[in-house]
Amino acid sequence: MEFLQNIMMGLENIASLYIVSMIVLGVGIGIIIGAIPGLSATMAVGLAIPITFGMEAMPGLALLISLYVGALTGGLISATLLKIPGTPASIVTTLDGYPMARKNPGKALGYGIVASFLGGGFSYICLLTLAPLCAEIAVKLGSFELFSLIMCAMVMIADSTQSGFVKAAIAGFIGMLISTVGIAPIDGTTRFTFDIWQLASGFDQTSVLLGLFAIPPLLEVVQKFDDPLPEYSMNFKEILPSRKDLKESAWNLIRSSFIGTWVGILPGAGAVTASIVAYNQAKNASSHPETFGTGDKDGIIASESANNAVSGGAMIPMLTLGIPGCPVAALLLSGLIIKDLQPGPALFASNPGLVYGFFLSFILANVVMLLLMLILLKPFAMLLKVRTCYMVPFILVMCVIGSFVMNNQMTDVWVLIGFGLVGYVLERNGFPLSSLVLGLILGPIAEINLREGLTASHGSFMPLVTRPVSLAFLLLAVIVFIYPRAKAYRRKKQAALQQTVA
Amino acid sequence: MKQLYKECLMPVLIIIGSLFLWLETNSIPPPNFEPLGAAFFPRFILVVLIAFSALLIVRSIWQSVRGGARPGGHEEPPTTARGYLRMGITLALLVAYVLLIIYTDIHFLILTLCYMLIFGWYLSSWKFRTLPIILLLAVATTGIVYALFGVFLGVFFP
Repeated sequence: MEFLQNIMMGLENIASLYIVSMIVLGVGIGIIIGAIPGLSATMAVGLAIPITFGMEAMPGLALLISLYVGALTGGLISATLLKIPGTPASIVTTLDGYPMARKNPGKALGYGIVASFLGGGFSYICLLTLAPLCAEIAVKLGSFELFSLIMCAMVMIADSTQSGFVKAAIAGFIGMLISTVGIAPIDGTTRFTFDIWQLASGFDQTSVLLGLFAIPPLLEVVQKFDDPLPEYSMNFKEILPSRKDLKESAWNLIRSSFIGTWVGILPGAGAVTASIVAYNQAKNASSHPETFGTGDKDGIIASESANNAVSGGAMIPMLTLGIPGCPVAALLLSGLIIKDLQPGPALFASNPGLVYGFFLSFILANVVMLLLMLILLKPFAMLLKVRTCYMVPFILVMCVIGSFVMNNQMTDVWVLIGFGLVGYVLERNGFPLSSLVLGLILGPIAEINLREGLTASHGSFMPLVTRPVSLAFLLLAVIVFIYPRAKAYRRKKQAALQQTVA
Repeated sequence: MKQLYKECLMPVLIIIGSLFLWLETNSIPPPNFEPLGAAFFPRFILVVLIAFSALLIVRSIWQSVRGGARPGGHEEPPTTARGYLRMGITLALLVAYVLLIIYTDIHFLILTLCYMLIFGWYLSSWKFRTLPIILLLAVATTGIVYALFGVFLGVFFP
């Protein structure tokens, strides 16, 4: 009953022409940004955060959500037509999307669009039903439990990237170190300000995030300016897949959507991981795995449903615990905090209309995405002819003004440029920025909870291992770290033994 | 040898930076009313950074001595000299744009228009036939920035 009441409150919050138009605008712009190679969902949401500064909470959040949903699907267009992923989440889509598009581009895009819609829809239903349950559990977590959970999340983040555990861990802890600049929590002493008064309140988070996610990709785009754009066909016939095709792929759709939602819940493991895992599972489960990579519809369906399903799953830990499941969730968290809305169980109790409006915005944005993609597919595809380098000055100007408006000071613009350079250097040397950002967000939460817990326990670290939930999180971190390495070591030994026998 | 130098450079820089920041933590006052104090968490992070960076260096040296697969890490393909030049000019133009905003009395919107024009024309390799498009983009961007931030959001420009 309370659930239905909350849904009605959410509907009341989003049932206005202004918010619906923000959603339509957001999805449209998101699709365009997602489609253009070199730009990403993270950049789209990051650039929009300063714009939402002057808006009310619900329309601002609706805009950010719809940009995210649009950009995730937009990446499908260039992945399928050009074999260049528009967003990192669409890397795996190129494997089967491009070969199918050589024969029938409309069909290839159609499978991707419908899979994105259904995968996203599945995860948003999970978000609507699971998030309130998780919020009830989160209330019971104390300081030590939260600190252990964050340490477990840091291990998962480091283990889930393709960069290797050590580099990802270093990036995560660099992010935590950056978060210590400014006034310390609890006692208010200043740290690492070097007598620069503008650093007293620390680095502005939005400027740091914009610098890390917008500047390095733009610098990469500028470098590759001379690369010619591939040719592609725009002969889109029979876009919508047939009922028979969907029925054949039903189990693949459900499995991939589940994988995407679950991977989205895990901190650090983003859409790329989800689409890779879902693709491999689909290939293993297929009766004809040899057709994967040659234009198999199941390959497209697995990748696209999983990468869109991540969006719903990633919101669950972000809203209930303040732990973002992916970099875009970190940006949305930043968007919530700007509006003075602290994620956590208290938000569900104090502002259920906003929270359920947040969930319903995802569902509405998903529907709008399907309609816009089916109706405006050709105009979106034509945008691929625009060379990305012409967008670079526009995006840089938006970054500069976006950083400035947060606190009306030019120091934040220097922060933007500085962290842009830092992000570029780190990424070129294999240190993942997604880990750095998650460390930046989780650092203050970890510190506050550790110090509060130790104050309550009079300096004793024992509750970290004597409290069962805290111990469980620490053990999970150890298992997540050890298990894949033990498995790989055993496989290596078996292979060496087989070689000796042979 | 070049590969080893490339792999060890970042960890060495991280260790040097961490040691410098560790010295800086000595200026943080000790705790008054709670066990840890403000210096504990940064020091914990710095110890972890030094330890992991040292591990990276040791692993790189070990792999270099043994030969075989390099330590895990997805690294981008090398940048050409032309690529570095383009990046340098992009950053130089951006810094010049910001410096002009701070130290001159020229209005932000005029500077934005000029920046978009010059930078866009540079990216199109100074081709005259692209000038109309770039001018259109520059005027459109300035218009969008003014409408969105100045009118819709009511924000003061720098």
